[in-house]
Amino acid sequence: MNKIVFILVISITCRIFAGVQDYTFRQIKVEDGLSQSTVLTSLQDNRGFMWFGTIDGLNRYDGYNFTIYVNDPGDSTSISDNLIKCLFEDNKKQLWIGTANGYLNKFDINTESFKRYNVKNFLETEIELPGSYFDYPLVFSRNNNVSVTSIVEDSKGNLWLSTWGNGIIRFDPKNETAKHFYHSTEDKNSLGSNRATKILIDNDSTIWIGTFGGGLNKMIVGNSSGTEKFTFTSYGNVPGRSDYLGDNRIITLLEDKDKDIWLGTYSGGLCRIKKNQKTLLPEFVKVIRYIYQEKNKHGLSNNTVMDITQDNSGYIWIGTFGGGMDRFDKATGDFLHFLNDPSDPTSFPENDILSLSLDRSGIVWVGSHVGGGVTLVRENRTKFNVLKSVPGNPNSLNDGIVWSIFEDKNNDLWMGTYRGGLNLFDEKSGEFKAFKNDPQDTNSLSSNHIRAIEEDRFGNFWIGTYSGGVNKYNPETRLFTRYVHNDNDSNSISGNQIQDIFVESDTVIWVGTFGAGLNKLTFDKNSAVSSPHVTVYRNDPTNPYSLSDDRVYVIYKDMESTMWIGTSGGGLCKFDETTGKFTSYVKDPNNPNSLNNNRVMSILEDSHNKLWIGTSGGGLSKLDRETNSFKSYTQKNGLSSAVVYGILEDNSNNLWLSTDNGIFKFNIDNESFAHFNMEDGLQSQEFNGGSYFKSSDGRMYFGGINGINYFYPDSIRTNFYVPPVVITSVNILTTQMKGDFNEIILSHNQNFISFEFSALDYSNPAENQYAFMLEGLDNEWKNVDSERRIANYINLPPGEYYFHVIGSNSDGLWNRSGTTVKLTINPPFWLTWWFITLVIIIAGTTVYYLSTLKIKQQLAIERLKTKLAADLHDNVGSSLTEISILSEVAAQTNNGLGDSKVLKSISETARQLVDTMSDIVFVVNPERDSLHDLIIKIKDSYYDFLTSAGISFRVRNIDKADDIKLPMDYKQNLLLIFKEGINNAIKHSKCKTILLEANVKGDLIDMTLSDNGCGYNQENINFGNGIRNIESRAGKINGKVEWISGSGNGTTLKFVGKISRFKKIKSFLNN
Amino acid sequence: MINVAIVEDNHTIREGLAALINGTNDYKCIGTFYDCESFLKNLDKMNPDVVLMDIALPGMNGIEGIKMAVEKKPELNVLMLTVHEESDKVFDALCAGACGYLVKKTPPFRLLEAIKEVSEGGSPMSSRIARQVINAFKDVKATAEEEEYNLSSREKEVLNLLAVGNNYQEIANDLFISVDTVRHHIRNIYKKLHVHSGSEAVAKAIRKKLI
Repeated sequence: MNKIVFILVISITCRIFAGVQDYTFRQIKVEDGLSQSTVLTSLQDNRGFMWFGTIDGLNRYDGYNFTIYVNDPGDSTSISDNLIKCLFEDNKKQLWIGTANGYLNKFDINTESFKRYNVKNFLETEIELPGSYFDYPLVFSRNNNVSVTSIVEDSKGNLWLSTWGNGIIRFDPKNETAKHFYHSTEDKNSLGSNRATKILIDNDSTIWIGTFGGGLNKMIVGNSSGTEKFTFTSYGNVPGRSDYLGDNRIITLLEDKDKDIWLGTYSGGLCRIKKNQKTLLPEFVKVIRYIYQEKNKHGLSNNTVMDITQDNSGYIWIGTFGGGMDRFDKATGDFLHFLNDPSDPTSFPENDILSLSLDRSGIVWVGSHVGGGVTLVRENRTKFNVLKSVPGNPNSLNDGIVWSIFEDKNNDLWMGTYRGGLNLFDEKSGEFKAFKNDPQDTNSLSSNHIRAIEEDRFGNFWIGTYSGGVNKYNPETRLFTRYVHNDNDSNSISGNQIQDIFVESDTVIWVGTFGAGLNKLTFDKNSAVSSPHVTVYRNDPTNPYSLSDDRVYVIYKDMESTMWIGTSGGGLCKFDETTGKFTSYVKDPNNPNSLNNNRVMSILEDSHNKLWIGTSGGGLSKLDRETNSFKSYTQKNGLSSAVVYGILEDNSNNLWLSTDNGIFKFNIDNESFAHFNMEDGLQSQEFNGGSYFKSSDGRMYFGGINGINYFYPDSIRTNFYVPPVVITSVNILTTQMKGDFNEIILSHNQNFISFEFSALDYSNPAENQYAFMLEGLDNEWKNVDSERRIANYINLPPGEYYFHVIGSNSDGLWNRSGTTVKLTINPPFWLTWWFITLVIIIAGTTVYYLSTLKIKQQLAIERLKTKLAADLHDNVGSSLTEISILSEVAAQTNNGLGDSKVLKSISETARQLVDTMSDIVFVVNPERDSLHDLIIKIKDSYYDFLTSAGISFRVRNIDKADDIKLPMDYKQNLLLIFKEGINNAIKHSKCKTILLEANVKGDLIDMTLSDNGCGYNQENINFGNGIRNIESRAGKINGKVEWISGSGNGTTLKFVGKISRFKKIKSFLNN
Repeated sequence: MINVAIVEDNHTIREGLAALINGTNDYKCIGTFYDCESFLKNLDKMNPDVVLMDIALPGMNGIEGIKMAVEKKPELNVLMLTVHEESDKVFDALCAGACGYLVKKTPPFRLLEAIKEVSEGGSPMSSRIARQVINAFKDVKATAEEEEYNLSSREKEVLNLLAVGNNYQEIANDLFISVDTVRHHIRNIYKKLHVHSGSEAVAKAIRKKLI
């Protein structure tokens, strides 16, 4: 079938607006960070980043910043050259870049470096195609014969490259080997032309090669008995044949979802080979051609087709050089034109397109020629229609500040403005009509400042003005009847500042004034004809059941016929007409369940019986009438405006709010807020109080300072794309880390780190929201907006941390898993567990060793001492005893002779020596080191002697002495002092009793030896060396001795010294 | 005439003591022995009033020797000869059956006095020993309830007074008894100590306490 499709205009909608307005455009230029404005190629990688190849560098974009990769002549791991012709991401998520200088670059994300493959190394033979550069259009003039024009991957993992003058190459990235396919005149079965522009591998693994001048080539890789076989088929232009290629110069190829092949040519427009034609021999193939025809407004816009892509809805997007962009609808066969209109700044920005690509959220990325940069083409999901005031245009609002909106029974739109009076808009005709105050005409509108508009059942309009009271407009008579305040007439309305009007019934109209309370207008028959009786309700400070504030802002009657009055300053009032009582709800600082703010802007009852209050300063509030408690929604819940002007409910359980910061869609179920801004088509961010209306068919109106927005809520589709969240840069101290990171390990002095991150949704990146938390340091999420997308951490103590970051798209759809980086800060070696443990072990062992060593030494010394003393005593003592006995025996046999005295002396001396040795043993013995032991020793030494001498020897208070440990010098000296003392007593005192006593108080020892002998007189008796000995011995141990005596009164020897009280550590020394 | 036997391994001391004893009127040394074995062998043939026995002897030591000697002749009076009066062995010896002890450096007249005292039935006890006896008896209440093996209250009184350092005369004055009676009590205390020491469990306990 010969079929050249001519576009037929089939209007699907009767709307005023054309299809292009369904899209918004945003340009990214060099000023935004793009390295160069000629964008030859673009691609979204697996992580979500956008890559752009320009003629001066490779760019990576994260929605906010660009990372530029350019060639560094001194760094062989930088990219080969800056003329980026094509980009490709293979199945292993590896990014490949083909450049004009003839290199294939492989990008390593961990090191952010490139491995270069010189195409010339892949060539079997290098072909020098003739043709100077200026033969070719500007776009191709930078190419040389080895420029890489496109890269694709086959099912076996091989890469196929097309070159500008050397045919095509099959490259095995694993083995880094290549096979070269080129046109050879000798080989009939070779590639048709060496100037290849594009390779396409279709769904059936057939390889299609577009060439510049050689038409289309088809290559089939077959396998015949183990060896590869390559078969080429050529499709060239057949002049005269309209169902064939119109131009052999092919620029681009695409296989669509239906497996049709599309070709873009240099001057032959767009070609299409349907799926069923692909396997036919060239002579039988019927090619469908689309070419530019001036009179065809829905045909191809330009014959130079640079790039083609298809979106998820099936539309084919065509980028032309000179004719802007087209969107082809396969179903209708229409081309939708996107063309720049210099007089319309909101039109498509660039007509010279070089490349097209699609991201996963559905945005079309357009790379343009010189100066154009990148354009994002986004479907306009948010259809906020607008009516504005256009100066000089009588068919627009006469004043942009709209205070009141009303759609009447005829679906005409009434708008009350600030200074323009009433505007009436007829949508069918698109005409505006205005009603203004005429000072000369008392039947005209009383004031141009309109605050309220209502319609009664009789077709009259009740207009509330802000200084002219109430007006009743009869459309038939076209007359305005005024109801104003009159001081002299008590049946007039109480004030002229009308804020709200409520038509309750045929006979009752309520009027809320700003400052003069609430008025009820009661008519006899119906409000159309009679004059009303006015009942005024005002605030009475003495009556808590009166209206809480005279500034009535809104009057609302709910489903249960309860009347609610919202005041500006007095909170909310519930009015019971039968009793005439107002129950007020005001803000109570001590009650978090009270109304959040006393300036009530709007009231709405939703379909679940909850009452919603919009306030000025307190955001949104929900009243639960069963519990009489309020729940507030403010900034921290996601409502980024404290002022809620209008509240309307849609059919899908959402509330729509107009605020000072755009429009919010609040989902009543999950209590989340979606935010809409001027970018979405709002008249402005600021809306007006009282300026909202919902028509009977569900259409919503919100008025603001620059016109009004109207929309059907269901047609506002939010962005459903959940963006991937990535960390875009990590800085340690001030150095940026290269590469992609899951884990970062740092030393203790590198503990200044910052993370920059992005949620890769490009619809409106400025409105993306983020939250991050450093697990191990923070215990809650920090919410930030897109301007503060950096998390800084300084002076992190050593440890293990996890940095979590999550993000949302511009419509508040969150990716809650986000991304996580593990951060380990190693402690300095002196804080590592193994070091500390080692130190402790070493220290512990050392201490233990030293202490036991010391103790062992001491013990050894003690034992040695004891042993020596004992040995000495035993040996010497034994011999001395012998001497003593021998001399006794000798004395005995010499009885009577003078020598016996001498012999007895010898015996005595020997015995004394034994005694002395016994003392030494005692002093040295560590086991007998208490004061108690000392006293016992003294006692035992003299007991026998004293008993036989008839002297009673007593000791007293020796029990406590057991606790006191005497050092050796104390033992020795005290022993000798008191032995001497006893000796003196025995020799000189002629006593009968000797008492030895010891007292210990704190640090002091007090030992006394007393006898009941004759005493002495200090001057009389010279005790000789004995006393001096005692005193010197006392001095040696820092003690003092005292002699207390008187003639006939006995003698007391008193020793006082300082001693530290020690508990005997018997076990320690008893080893 | 007081018959004395000497068991001492030091030749000089042994012969010297024998000479001193023999050289004193009313005293006679009826045998000198180098060790316990030879003494015990000859014990049947002798009839000493007092035995002076050294503790440290070659072969069987003095404590064992006392035990065996007292077993053979229960009325035997044994006086321990010791280098140290503090030695723990002294108390062991007393428990084994000795009536008293003497330090080797004791002057001869005192020595002879002690021998005489012992032969007359007295048993010298120092306050130190008294304290040890008190402790020994404290431990052993549980095993025997009979009055025979436990100290009487009078005996306890005597012991306590002795322990704090009173001499016999003072004790006699305090308790309104005669010095002889004091001596008698002390003798009995020793006997009970010997008996106590006889039983193994007691011996162990005593040993524990002393150590």
